[in-house]
Amino acid sequence: MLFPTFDFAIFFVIVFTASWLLRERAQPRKVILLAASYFFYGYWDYRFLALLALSSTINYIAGICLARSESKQAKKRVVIVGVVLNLAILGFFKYYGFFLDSLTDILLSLGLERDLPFLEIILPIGISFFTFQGISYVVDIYRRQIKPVESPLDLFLYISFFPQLVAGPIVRASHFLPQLNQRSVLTNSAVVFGFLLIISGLFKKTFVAHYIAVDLVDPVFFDPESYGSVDLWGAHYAYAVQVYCDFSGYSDIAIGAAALLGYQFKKNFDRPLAATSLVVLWQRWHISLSTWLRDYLYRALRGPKRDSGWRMHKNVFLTMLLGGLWHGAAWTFVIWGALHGVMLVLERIVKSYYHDVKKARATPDDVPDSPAVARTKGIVSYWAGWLFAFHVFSLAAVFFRSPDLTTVWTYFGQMFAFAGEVELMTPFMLLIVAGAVAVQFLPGNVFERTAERFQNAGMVTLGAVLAISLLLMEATGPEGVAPFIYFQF
Amino acid sequence: MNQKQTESLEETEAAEAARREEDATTASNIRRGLGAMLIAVVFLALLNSNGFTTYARDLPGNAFSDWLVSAADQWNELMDAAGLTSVADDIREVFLSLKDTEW
Repeated sequence: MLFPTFDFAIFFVIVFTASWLLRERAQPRKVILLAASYFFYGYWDYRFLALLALSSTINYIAGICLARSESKQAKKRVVIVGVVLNLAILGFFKYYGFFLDSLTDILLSLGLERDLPFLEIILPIGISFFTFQGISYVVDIYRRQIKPVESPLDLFLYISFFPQLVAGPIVRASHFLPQLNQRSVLTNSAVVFGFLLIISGLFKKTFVAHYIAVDLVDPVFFDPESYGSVDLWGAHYAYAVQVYCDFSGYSDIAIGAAALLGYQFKKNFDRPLAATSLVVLWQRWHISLSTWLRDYLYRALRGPKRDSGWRMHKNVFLTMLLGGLWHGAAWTFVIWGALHGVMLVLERIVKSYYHDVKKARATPDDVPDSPAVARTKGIVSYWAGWLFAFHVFSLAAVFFRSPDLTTVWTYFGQMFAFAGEVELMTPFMLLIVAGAVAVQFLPGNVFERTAERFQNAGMVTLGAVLAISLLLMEATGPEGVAPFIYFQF
Repeated sequence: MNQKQTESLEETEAAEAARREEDATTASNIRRGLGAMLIAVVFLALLNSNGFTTYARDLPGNAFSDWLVSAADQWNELMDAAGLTSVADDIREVFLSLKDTEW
């Protein structure tokens, strides 16, 4: 079920009503939310409900085994089995086709033609996200950060809770499970915050991301040779904005829907396109995935000791490379990940070199900069950092968006030819791309502050704001509902 | 009753009162949230009735969806006769004239 649809609106009103009617009874409330989550997932393809249940069962059993294992060795074995089983499910659905294709190619090149057991594997929506949540549950128990759940209902609901099920945010068990066993409360500001986030998410997705996709990015990436350099430059900036609006729009709706049901999710995007360094950009982009990669992949690569020097650089690079590969078994994703890894390492090296040189050259007689000079230096450094981070991100996005490397090289060739007419980069397109970037420079807690300020807004006011927003989006947005980009991952 | 017992009783009563207030706030916010959603549905049914016909027509064909299509069509005609469908059309027209601006 897609969020920006009438089906979801009906579904949500029913779930909202039923779950709050049961607010005094924790267990039936959880059962209703679990049933709703399975209905939400099964609405897309009911056959994959078994997979969701299997993933939850594996992690539930792993949690019990970890609690019952007494020796460190036994716990280690259990966590390895748990993580491997989770990854096996993910790997099978995600990489089976790629490995079989590659194996067929290798055998053909060796003159060995074989009929391999080819299966048309459909990638279950959200498989990465619920697998990551399962892994974090098992590993956190192993690391003694949480205790295993007593009731399987809690774990099944944690893995499948519909707002975050198919595209995140990746909710940590330590954050979500305690909320399941607290009294359900709906505060004044949570209602306003929930509606504001849902409106914001719908606008980002159905208006900004959708227009950018259909009017600029899709045609340009489909046939880059047919468009001029300005359109290609515009499309690569626009794609960075499209991915942001598409993905953060989904997160906004998810966080807003959860807030209306009485659950808090952490912020998942914090104005990443205004970041003044690549490190900060990744700290603000899909925060729940970045921190997941840091805690479960980077920490696993690093080991128990803190990293420094080349070891740290190597692990940062590998984390980004594997992050790229997670998006799909294609060279475009591998290069995208590697590019970010290299640039993150370079940024760290250059910054550390600059500080070392500055320190070495400093003498006690140095006169500090005047306030005007210091301010100018600050402004220059801020915008230079922003330009660097934004351009690395948007240029790398060309690899991310292109179907193959041939398209990438054609795209860059045409982009740097500085020729051709402006066709698709209209004033409207410039306005929404520039506007989407500009609003990222607003303070980060706009929604929280607005919700606090208008927390006592009456039912009619809230209803009118919701209705007018929906009407404007419906009247001005493109026709149809485009699937969210991250559903495919 | 000694002082300790009195303090403990007062704390329990205060916690009870806070809980009752929290419950009342939650109940009021549930009504507020649900009411807001229903107002939005009514508002859209009046001003964007065309959206309902599109939705109904996209449903898989069966007796219920046939009935829904017919009901949505009738409702849309009613709103059209009342001049309410023109609001969304006018907004779209103004927006498209801005959107189609060229350099």
